[in-house]
Amino acid sequence: MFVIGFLQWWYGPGWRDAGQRVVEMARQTYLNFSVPILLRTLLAPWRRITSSSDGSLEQRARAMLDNVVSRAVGFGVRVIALVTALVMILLIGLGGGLLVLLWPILPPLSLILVAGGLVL
Amino acid sequence: MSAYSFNAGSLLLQEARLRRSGGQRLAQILLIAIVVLAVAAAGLGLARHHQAVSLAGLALGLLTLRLWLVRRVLALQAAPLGSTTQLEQLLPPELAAAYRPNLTAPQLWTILTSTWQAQFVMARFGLYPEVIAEHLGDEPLDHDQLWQAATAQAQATSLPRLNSAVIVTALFAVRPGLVALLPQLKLTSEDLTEGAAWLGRLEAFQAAKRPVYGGIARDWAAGFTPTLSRFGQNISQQVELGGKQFGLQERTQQLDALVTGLNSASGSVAVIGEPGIGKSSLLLGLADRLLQGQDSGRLAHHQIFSLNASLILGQQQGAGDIERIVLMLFGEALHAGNIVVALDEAQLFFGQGTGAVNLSQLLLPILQAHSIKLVLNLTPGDWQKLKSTNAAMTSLLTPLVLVEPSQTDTLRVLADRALIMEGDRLTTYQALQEAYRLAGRYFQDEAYPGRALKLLEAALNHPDGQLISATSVQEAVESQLGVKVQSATVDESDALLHLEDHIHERMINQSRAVSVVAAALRRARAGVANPRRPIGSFLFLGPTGVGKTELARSLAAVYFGAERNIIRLDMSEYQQTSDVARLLESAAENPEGLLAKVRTAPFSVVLFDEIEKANPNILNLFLQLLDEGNLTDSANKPASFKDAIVIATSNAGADEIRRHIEAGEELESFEQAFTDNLINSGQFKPELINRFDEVVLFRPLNPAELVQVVQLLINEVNRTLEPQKIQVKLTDAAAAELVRAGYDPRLGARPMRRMVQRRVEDTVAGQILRGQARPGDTISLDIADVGGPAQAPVAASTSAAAPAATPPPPPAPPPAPAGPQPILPRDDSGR
Repeated sequence: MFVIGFLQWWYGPGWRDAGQRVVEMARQTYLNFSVPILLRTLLAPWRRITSSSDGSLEQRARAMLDNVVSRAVGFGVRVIALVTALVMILLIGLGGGLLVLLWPILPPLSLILVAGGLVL
Repeated sequence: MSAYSFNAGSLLLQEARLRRSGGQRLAQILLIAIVVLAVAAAGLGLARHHQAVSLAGLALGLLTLRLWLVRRVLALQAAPLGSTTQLEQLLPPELAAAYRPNLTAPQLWTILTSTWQAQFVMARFGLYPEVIAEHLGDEPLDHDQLWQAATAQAQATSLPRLNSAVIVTALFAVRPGLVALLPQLKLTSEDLTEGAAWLGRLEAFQAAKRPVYGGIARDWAAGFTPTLSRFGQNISQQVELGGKQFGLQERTQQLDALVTGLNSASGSVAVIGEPGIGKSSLLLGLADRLLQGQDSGRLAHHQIFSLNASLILGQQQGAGDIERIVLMLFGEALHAGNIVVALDEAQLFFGQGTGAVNLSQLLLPILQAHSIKLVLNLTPGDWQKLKSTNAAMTSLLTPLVLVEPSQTDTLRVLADRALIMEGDRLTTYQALQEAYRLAGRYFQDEAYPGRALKLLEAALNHPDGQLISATSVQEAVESQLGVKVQSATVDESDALLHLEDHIHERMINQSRAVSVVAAALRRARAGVANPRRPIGSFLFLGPTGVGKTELARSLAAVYFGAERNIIRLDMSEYQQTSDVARLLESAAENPEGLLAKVRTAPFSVVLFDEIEKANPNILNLFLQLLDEGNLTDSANKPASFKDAIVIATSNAGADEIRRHIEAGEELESFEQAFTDNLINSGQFKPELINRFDEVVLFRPLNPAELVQVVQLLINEVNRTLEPQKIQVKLTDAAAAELVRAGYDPRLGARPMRRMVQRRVEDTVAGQILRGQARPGDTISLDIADVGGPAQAPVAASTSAAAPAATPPPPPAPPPAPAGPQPILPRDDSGR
């Protein structure tokens, strides 16, 4: 009785559930790394650290340099975060995808392995 | 034909039974086995042993089994309502596993009581499983009717699926024995339905996923806020750390309006509502919504800082310090770019109230610039004041008025918050209802749900065993306000039934007055009286010195526990029109005023002496007081008289009463005509007279009754002398002499106190000072001692068994010395 229940679930809702969980994990990673915010603010100054000056040309140039540095720092940190998020999402996708692909053969594979081990 | 079918052999049912018979434990065993096998397989694999393959295969097989067990069997839940008519799918799995279509009601009850959902409902309503089992009845259970009732209950409470709690409430709807039991438990079927909804909300909250509040990079594009962190509270951080709190009022509409207001051109909103209505909770809800970034428009992932007025004010060391800090705060908020500034109790920032600072001139240009998002929390009164003093500022704010939630919504908030506040105790639904009822009656300074929540919090200090019950709430009110809200105890019932006797221990005659007042009190304590009016309201009419005030005092002592529980106003001091305002002064204006005193001690006798002398406008206020049981003070806050006994006294018509009594008439025979005369003569308006529960006439006291009054006064003297262990006794002749000397038919008993003071207390004082009266003595005063023919007073031992040992009576006391005399030390050595 339970064997039928097990098989019905494994090749139906269980398989679908496994796929959904992989997608959900990837989505959570995407949100936890604030990917949309990172993309939207990629070139924004780091923590709004900026300076402005109405003074001499040298002072203006210095302020502009400060701002460029702030944006560069922001860009650098964000790119690192984006790359990390991308790698993690890729890993989840690959691992999860592999699991979903192999899902149908896991029950027979376990039987084959048990039997194979005994035969060897 | 049944509307539902049940397939006892279905696969789903087998899985439900597996889950019920230890599925959780099986999952744990499988996990251990998988780990052991995997480790063993790895070990053997390293040793290149061929059995490693078998063990790996076995581990994999068990892993797939465990996945099925955890993700399928243990995650089973009832099918959504309306999706099927198969009972094994519709029922919660723990119930379906044991269900059979031929179950009797007691059998079904036994299964239900093993589920935590049913236990939740039983505990919250104080239902004992054994008591319910006794009332289930022997008649066959109509399963179809039960499931239809359960479905209806679930739909009524917006539950998507059946749970055991809903089935318990359905049983109460279909079993006649349980239907009859409900009133005995002081419950209705709607209450039980609310209990099921309570559980439904808890389950939904537990099942909800923790939201993602923007992720790690949320604030990387926003500025730092050190000054705001120092002078304010980051509400968003609070929400982020603790998650959205269970039990916060669902105020979707108000939140929508608030977000819309903040996103509008003005960008600033004034949230207006009475204290306790949930302004601060609304900020928590706003913080949660903004952090989630949904339905927030441009405010997505903004943070809310609530500024602390007292912290800012505390930084003032020189002129301009406050302004400098405030400008720094708003400058920082502007620069950060993701800040909503909240001013909770905003009136403190506009120079209103204790510890206030006036920043209106500073805030006006900030509001005009529309550059900062501001939320101001204000009470309606403060909003009106701000409008009148600073119209330019209020025109820049979008007002959002919060209204008090309904009783149902308030009870839901109480129920959900109780789960957080109660700790290791259980709050019953009856406690929530009682908190709602008593908060409405006694805590009128605040709005719902705040006032009921405060009371519920206070009730946590009065546990009833392991429960926070209705009794806990009543005890909290009694300890806070000194009112009696619990049912009368056996001793108290006895005291109430014999109230007349207790009052007559202090009062002579006036039996009719005493009996009408006692009857009113009995009605109130038995819960028969109208709860929206004072416990009793009486107009006492009669000459001076007949016991009107004394009866009020006796009531305060006998019923309210002490004579001090009397609030007395001499209405001759309220004769001018301007005195109306004085009577209605708020607690802030006059802490010793009538309304302040009634709020502090609502369970009191309120005595309005000589009411006929009051200004007619004040008498008009009495109409409201007697009709609605409250008066509203100058700050527009009501003060309740619903737990007070209101007594007005008057000497009006005193001569007429005396004439009737001297003519030998009984009070009952002329009281109606007398009252009509008072109205016809214009001394009292008929609408005022008719609003009193009773108009009580007091008859003049005759000399024989005055002798009894003298005896009561001597009892008072004896109570005063009790610490010195000396007692005073008057002979009959002495008492009669005092009455003779002090009798004045116009003044009644009033001169008696003076007589006792002059002729008894002075004599006793002289004896004590001369050492003629010692502890244990009884001073017996005869007629000569109180101003009659000469005879010596007797200081005697109280021991009846040793009269012979009593020293011979000293000679009559010499006249009191004219000047001060040295007080001799008492010689106790010879005793």
